[in-house]
Amino acid sequence: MTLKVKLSSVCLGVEGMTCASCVQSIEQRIGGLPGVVHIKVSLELKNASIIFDHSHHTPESLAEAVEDMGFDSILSDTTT
Amino acid sequence: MREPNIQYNNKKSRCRLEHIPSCFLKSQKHEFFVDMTCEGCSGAVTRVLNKLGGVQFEIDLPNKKVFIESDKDTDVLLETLKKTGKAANYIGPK
Repeated sequence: MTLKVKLSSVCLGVEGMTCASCVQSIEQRIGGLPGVVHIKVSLELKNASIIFDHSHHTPESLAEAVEDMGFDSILSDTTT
Repeated sequence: MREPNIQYNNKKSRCRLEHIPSCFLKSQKHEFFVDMTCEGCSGAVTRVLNKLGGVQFEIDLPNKKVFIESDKDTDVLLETLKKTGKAANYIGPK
């Protein structure tokens, strides 16, 4: 049996993080969303790289989820 | 038999919402605990509360407290604070 999932990755710019606990709360909250396979947030680069299932999310919906948490997020580059 | 017709300023007296003394409608101040550790955290709290609108608030970062003055339900306020992904609790009215 094969599961067909269309995985995409996106790199979102995230502004407003200042410490490791900000990073952690974003990783936990966004990483906990259904359809999000992997998330890596970098404090130095001010971005979040997310691997997600395209049937659940779009880069826009993820950016909105980050903004909903109170951080500014900029959609920078998408690679499928 | 005629019903008594009470008149104030030539208007019939009616019980309407506007007649409730304003002190009952005044928004309540609530105290919340939010696990904030830095300015980034309090900044995130500020942004989600501003997005919600209709609230006045103060953030006490060292004590991890948020004081919100609003006529909104405490559950709504707590859900909003939890959006930041941080642990949040309702302490009580202040």
